[in-house]
Amino acid sequence: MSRKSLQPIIPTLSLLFALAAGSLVIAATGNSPVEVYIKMIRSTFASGYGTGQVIFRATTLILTGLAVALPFRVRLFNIGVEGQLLMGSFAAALCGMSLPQDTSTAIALPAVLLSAMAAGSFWALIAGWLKVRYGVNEVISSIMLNFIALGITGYLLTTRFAVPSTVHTPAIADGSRLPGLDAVLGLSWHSPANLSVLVAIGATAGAAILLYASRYGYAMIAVGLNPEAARHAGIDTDAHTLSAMAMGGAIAGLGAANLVLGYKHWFEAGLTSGAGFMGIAVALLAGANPVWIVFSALLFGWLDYGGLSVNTMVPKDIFMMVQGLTILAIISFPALFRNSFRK
Amino acid sequence: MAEAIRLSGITRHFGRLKANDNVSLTIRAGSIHALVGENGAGKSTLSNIVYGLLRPDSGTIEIEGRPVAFTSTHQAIEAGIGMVHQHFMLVPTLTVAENIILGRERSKFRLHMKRLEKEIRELGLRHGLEVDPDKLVSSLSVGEQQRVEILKLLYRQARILILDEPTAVLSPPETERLFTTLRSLAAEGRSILLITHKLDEVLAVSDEVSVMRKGALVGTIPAGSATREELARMMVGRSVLLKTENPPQASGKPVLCIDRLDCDAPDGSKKLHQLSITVHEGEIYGIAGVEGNGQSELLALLWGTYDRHAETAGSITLNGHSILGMPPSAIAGMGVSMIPEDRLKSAIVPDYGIEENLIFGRHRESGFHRGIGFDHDRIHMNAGKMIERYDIRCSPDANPAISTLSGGNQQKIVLAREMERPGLKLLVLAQPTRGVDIGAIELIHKRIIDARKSGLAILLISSELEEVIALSSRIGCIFKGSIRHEFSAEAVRKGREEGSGLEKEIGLHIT
Repeated sequence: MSRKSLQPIIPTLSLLFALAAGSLVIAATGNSPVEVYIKMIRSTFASGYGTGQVIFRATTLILTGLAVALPFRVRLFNIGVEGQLLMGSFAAALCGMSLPQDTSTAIALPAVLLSAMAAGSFWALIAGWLKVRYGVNEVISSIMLNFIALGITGYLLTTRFAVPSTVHTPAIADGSRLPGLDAVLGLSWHSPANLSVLVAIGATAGAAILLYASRYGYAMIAVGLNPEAARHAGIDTDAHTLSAMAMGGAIAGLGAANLVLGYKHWFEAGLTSGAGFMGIAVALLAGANPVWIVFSALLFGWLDYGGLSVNTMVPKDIFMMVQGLTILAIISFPALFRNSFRK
Repeated sequence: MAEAIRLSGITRHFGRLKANDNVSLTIRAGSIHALVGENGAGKSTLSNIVYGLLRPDSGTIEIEGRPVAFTSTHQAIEAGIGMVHQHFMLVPTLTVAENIILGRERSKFRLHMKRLEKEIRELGLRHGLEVDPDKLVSSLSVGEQQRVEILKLLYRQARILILDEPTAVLSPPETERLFTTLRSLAAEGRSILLITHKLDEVLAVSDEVSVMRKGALVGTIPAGSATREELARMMVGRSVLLKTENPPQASGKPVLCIDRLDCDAPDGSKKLHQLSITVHEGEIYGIAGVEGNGQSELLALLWGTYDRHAETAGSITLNGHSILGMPPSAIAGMGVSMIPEDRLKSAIVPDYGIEENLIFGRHRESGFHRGIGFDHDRIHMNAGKMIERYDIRCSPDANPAISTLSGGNQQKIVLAREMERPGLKLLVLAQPTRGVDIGAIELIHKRIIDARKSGLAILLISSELEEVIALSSRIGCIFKGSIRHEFSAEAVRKGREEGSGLEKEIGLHIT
């Protein structure tokens, strides 16, 4: 069997393996796995609120997943998405709150989105530049940049920008807000899902076109597959490293559209709730393919909110284990298969 | 005479591929037995089976008359078999003596180094394997390292020696010396299985030759009565033109001028020193030399891929314009094509299809573009044309990944892509037929000569002396980063007609 034909099988197998392992743990806690899974499905897809919650969570995950996937294509492991998302969200909140209240949407929305992208991009480029200039491993530098981003935003929030006796910034101007899906579609889900789902779909389409239909993507994928040959073919691999990080950071920053522009309308402590880290899992499950990332993000969004919804029966931690096991299986299964084929 | 190895009906599959198909072979004790065949003919599989690295699916092995079924190399070593791999298995930070006893320490507590060193010296003297036992392996030349590998086997009392492509890394005098050693070992009653693809060497040193093709043994013949042509025909399955037609041609104006080029690596070591070469229109300038004498650095400087921390002096000009320091894309844009030394590493993207690889590095040409992407019809047509013109064996409509093709067909793709570059003026070829089977070599050589006839300037760098002599108009001998001697067009043509004399003379200038 060729390597290509194995590709979609491994994520599916991994997921099944993880769900089965999760079932065992649920059974060990004295609950019926079937009941728990049925409740999870009922409380998500059978309810408008639940569906909206899954969509809301998936929207951020699509963006953070893409932010990992694009650099992944040039052999860069962008662990720094959490920090880039934080910086983007913080910049969006600051930009939005400093705009005059009556700024029109046509100006306010692009201004806030661009500031989020610029901040995320800048943060990712630090790791990219360190890699190109000094050969610093991007995994280590981007992890450290996560801490620094957490520190900077936390410090500035508490000492400078927080509304007194709260942990959040003042609200952003009305013109820079994205309406919820309820308002647009005339629903009454009362969920946080909002129009930024279009931003996520747009980013997915853009990434797919870039990778699979453009000359830039041809060169970019070549850099990832064989950097030495790409250099010989006259492709500037350093430029690709920088641009992939810049694009990844910008898309991570776009996560602010969902969290700040569409939901909270301000920056607050704990806003990202680890969506940047979960983006790594989303991208790995999808094999860094933009289109698959949408499905992968929906799945992780479902596990995330579904796990919360059965909290009364089993602790949410079980589903964190399922998510972790899925990724662990994805990473180990190909190696296991390779060994069994060799004999 | 006694038998050292007898293989009967050895068959080994890898998935659907039959790597060894019912191979029966006998090696006489005290003989040098050569095993030849193209890449993928099953030579390595067979030797790995003898050495216990692989187990056959069926068939039997007898060593010195006793049937054996090795499950590990350890058992093979116990049975008196030793192998020198193409890539040496030495610890560079240990001395020669320490490497030789590694894993074979006779005493648990004290190493009798003095006695051991004496033994090594004696063994070395007897077989022309002199190396200083005190020296660190990292300070030895490649030829000396190989001697250590052989000494290691002798110290372990190996009676059957398997050598995998032992001359690939050696200069001609070193090769000559190795052969003397092998003959002396055989005279002592040791048996040697020599795996190689160089037919001249087979005829020079071995007693018998076995030829493999597509996993099967084609035949075993005494080397004394064999000819190169006969062996090549057995390997390929049809007659092969070993000598490429190379009619003389007047060369034109200079295209590439390299003038007193110096290059110091970032660690301060001198890689190139005052190297000067001029390549004219309609000539092939061949650079002969043992690997590691500055060829890689020269290529990197020519193509702009060198380490920018290196210090350079001198100049490289193409039709009067300096190209030193330019990036590869700009150099390619001036009409230069390069076939790098290491195809898999530097010339192709193995996971890309044939069509994508045929435009790799030429993807900036607007003829292939449409919108922000590529004109896939054009790229498909381009592939069809190249596949036909360069006789690339593949299923063209499926556009399979290039990694599924043989080395020869991969190299034809690289050659097609680089030779068909629009506005080409200079072609740089590094090891153009490395890892390529004989049938493909024939075509590649013909295309190179054709390119020269069309007026192209060609720089050829190859560690295969035979290839340099067959193709070149003039030859420069590179040694320690300089051209030590240059053979004029007149001398090369004469040498080519007269036979082996030129090869010997070049050998003197590159060591």
